[in-house]
This record gives sequence, structure tokens and C-alpha cells, in this order.
Amino acid sequence: MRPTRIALCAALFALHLSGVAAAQVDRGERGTDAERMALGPDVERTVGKPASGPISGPALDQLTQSMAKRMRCPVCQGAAVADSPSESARNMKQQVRSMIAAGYSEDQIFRYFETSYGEFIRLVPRAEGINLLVWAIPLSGLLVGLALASGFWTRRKWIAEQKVARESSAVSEPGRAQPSNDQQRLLDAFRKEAESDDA
Amino acid sequence: MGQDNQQQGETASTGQAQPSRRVSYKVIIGGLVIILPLLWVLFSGLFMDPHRMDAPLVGRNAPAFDLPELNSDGTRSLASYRGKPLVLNFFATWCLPCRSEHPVLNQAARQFGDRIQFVGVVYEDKRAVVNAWLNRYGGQAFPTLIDIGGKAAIAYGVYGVPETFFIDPQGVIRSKHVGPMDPMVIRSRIALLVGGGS
Repeated sequence: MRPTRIALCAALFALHLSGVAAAQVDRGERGTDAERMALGPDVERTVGKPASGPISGPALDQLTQSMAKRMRCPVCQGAAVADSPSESARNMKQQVRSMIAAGYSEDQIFRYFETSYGEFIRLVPRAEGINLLVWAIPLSGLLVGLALASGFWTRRKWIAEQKVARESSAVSEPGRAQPSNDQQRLLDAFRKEAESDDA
Repeated sequence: MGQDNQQQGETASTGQAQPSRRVSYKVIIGGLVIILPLLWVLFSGLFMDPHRMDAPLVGRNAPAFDLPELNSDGTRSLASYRGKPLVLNFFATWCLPCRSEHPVLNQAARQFGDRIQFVGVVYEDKRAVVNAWLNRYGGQAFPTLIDIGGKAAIAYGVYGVPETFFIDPQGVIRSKHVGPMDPMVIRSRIALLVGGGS
């Protein structure tokens, strides 16, 4: 590439980085680390005591990331909390992290968020009740489609076979019906008699 | 015979059979049974707001909070407001519709303040800029709290500003209004709040 193009690409890349950095700046009050790791309001009243003991270290990061991927950011257009740079998403991820660190289970954490945001906060709906339609309708649609397709294919094959059968019979005796075996024997017998008479 | 057109599907000229063209009513009805409900669902989706979220907290207890006050060192909790109806307004200085809403809230606070408690909660904003903004857009007829780390907003299911919660003296959320309010909206919501409706 020419030098000017390289410079332009580098400048755009740097701009992008600064944009990403800007997106990470909170416009709200961050609070101290202790304040950020605190559980939000009413956690125990909503979902009870933690299901297990405290978690920390890499397991904490992994579990947080895994849950954040399955939680919808309500401010963004259907993006996951894990993927959104918005402050709301980062606050939600922090809240998830605080609850996992305290030992709350995934089910408890989702229920906490569902209490305020509704079931829509889950990117993957609970597999129960009317939500089962999410899986049932596409699957049955596929099966119905396959059945229809195989039906059409069978019908076309049948029509083609019929057409071939008619054409082959038309070629052998154009415009005339084929005599049956018995009739053919009778005809042969008559022909022999006629020939012997002629001879 | 080639001229016999009464036989189904045979044409006069070629003598070859054509596939039956009579349409099966079962197929039509089956197709409609599948297509019509689907069309109805898709059509009704045209009238839905894609940004709107559920408000499952309406009718349930308001989440407890304990937030620092804007202009003092103390904190206020939800419980400290119990016994009086509460209008809880989430706002931010970067929120443009909030600029028209804040004077309306101030006016309502001055008018109803003896019977109803108004409280503002700062959402995703810095303490330093809030006072100037409040004074510019109608003053401070009611106290303001700061939501640190957005935890109160998450507990209340806030996904944008302004959002206002109308909470009864027992601490139950009676209604929620998303978007800026004008005097008429505030008046009707307050009437429901003190009148015991939902």
C-alpha cells in the first residue's frame, strides 16, 4: 500500500481505539471498589440466601462472562450484556459479578433481574410453558416442509412414470390398443389357419 | 377415444394425460390455518414499541434503597419515606426530555409537597454537575439522591430516563411512567396514587 493509505489506516485505527476508550468512561458515579462489589438492594428479600459459598478468582470471571452472554442489555438493541460497552450493561455485569462472588446461583441471579425487568432480560428464554413454542414451531415447520417436499417429489415421480409408460405403449402400437396374451394366441392361431389355407 | 373430453384430465389433441388441476380444499384450509395466525401475530407486532420493556414491579413492593444525598453526607433509605405516598423520579443531566420535566416536578412538589413526598434519583451522572442543572431547570423543591454504580436503577428495572415510580404509603409501586411527564400526567397519576386506584 502507498504511504498515505497506510497513514490513513493507522489514523482510523487510533481513532477507533480512542472511541473504545471513551466508551469505557463512566458518566455516572463509580463509587469505591467496596461499593461496587456490594450486593444491590433487596437481593436477599427477592431471592433468599446464596445457594453456595463465596466464589473468587478465575472461576468468578468465567461464570460472570458466561452469564453476561445470556443476559440482554435492556438499553441496547438485543445485545448481550457481555458484548455491550454501554454503562448500563457494565453496571449489570458488575451486579452479576457481585452476586456470583457472594455465592448466588445462576437461577437466583436471573430471578433477581427478572423481578425488575421481566423475562425479556434473558437472551435464552426459559424452556417452559409457552416459551417451548420457540423451539416447537421451527422444528414442526421443518418437519411439515419436509413432508410437503417429499409429497411433491413423489407426485412428480408418479406423473413422470405415467408419462413414460404412456409414451412407450404409444411407440409400440401407435393409436391402437395392445391385445392381451389370450387374444394374441387366438390371433396367431387364426393367422396360421389363414396362411395354411392360402398356401 | 381422443375426442372424449369427459374423461378427467385427457386433452383432445394429444391423448396424453395431464396432471389433475382441481385444487384440494384441504390444502387451502390447512394453509390458511397456518398462515392466518402467523400473519395476525406479525401484524400486531407493527403496533408494538420495540424499545419498551415490561414493568413487572408494578403492584409489588418497591425495592429498598439506601442512597447518598446530593447535598449532604448522609444517606436516605426507602423505609425513611414510609407513611407518605412517594413519587420517585430517575433522571440525568444529559437527558434532554428531563429538562422540560424537572420544572413540572418542582411545581407539583410545591403544590402537593405537604401530602406527597417527591424524590429525585440521579442516574448515570456525576454529582458535580447535578446541582447546577437542577437550579437551571426549576430549582430544588425536593431532595435528590445519587445512585452509585446503577444498582438502584437495576433493582427498579430502569432502562432509560426519565422514569417515574408512584409508590403508596405502604411501599407498594402503584404505577410507573416511562418518559417525561407534563402537569396533566402528574396530576392523574397522583390522583390514582392517593385515591387508592391502580
